[in-house]
Amino acid sequence: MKTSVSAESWPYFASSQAVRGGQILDFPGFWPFQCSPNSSPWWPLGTGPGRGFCFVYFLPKLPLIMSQQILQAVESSFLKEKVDEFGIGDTVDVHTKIQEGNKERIQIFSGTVIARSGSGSREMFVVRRIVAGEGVERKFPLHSPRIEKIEVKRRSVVRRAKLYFLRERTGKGVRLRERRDR
Amino acid sequence: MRKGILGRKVGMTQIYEQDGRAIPVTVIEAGPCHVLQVKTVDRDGYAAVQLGFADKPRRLASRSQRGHVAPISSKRSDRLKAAGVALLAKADCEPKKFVREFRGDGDHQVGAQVLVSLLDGVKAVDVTGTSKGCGFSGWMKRHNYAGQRATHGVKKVHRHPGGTAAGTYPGRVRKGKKGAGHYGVDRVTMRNLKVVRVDAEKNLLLVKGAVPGPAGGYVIVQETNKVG
Repeated sequence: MKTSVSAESWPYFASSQAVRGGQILDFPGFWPFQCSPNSSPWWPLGTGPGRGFCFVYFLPKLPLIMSQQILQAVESSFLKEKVDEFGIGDTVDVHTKIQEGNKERIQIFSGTVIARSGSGSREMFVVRRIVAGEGVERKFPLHSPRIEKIEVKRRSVVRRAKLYFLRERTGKGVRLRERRDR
Repeated sequence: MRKGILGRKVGMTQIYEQDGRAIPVTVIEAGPCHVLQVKTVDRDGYAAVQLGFADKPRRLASRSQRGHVAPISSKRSDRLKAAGVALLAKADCEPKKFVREFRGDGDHQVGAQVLVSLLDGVKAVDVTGTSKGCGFSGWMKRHNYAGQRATHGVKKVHRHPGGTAAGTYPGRVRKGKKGAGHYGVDRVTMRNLKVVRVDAEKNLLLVKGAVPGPAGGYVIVQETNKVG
């Protein structure tokens, strides 16, 4: 990222950062208002053809930029405040709430996290374990209120984001090297 | 008159209910709309309320569009003024990108704002939009024909319709036979979508399920007229 374009001089950058907090921000002086009158609205200040490097050549239409921010803001109220940290390859215990009649109890599903997918409130993760010689996979919504907590039992060294290769392995082959850096 | 408002489809996402059920929702930025015109049976032959949504820059609006939302001096208006004819009230707002009428008598005043809080307490809505354009589409996509098998001796006709008519009689394809052609960019209404949430502060409306058209497309939201 080019540092000569500061966040202040580039409103789009500034506002997209602010959205990570989950809030819709106003566009204080959005394009082309904050640009100098000579510059094209598509070029950040101090950049453009012949005026240095520009790392965004095209911005989507304003309504679509706004759409993403609105969606994030809508989702933000349904996200968990704190999601238990875990990585791909970790052996985890997933505590899920189960409704049985009027009673509620906690069920634990333990296994290896082999994938995470999606973003925002749609983020999911897949846990795989071997039950009686048969591979069982369960996909959980990360932000579901039914998920009480995710406990990391063991961390592993993995070099992929999706460990689907584990599906073809059995016995000793499914072992992953333990990570001992923390 | 059914409660109605104009808006823009923002996109779809997923939210959770207390019991953990995930609901697919479409986020609609509904309003604020201005009432541009109130049509009456006496003057216009039918009763309707005209709403406008999303400001259009004045430099892009035609003179008639600008004159529709705010008083504008013209030869005709000067003449009418000279003759002492009362001019119609104007909304006195910016020109609008999306203007639609809602039929029926309402207690709307020209220039008033219609906010999404209008739909507070409404259980379900009908959402009208313009469906995504699919260009020239084949039978299968356009009319849900099944096509033919991938194997078992089927050659080069996997996505073809099969027969279109009988033999010697009638000896031609009947009129109205479904076929390939332009698909999409139609006015489509999804009826009876459950209202999940009305966010008056951010002018957002969350409905359960999908809504016609692309994200960013304009939609008409009305209280549903579906019974039961």
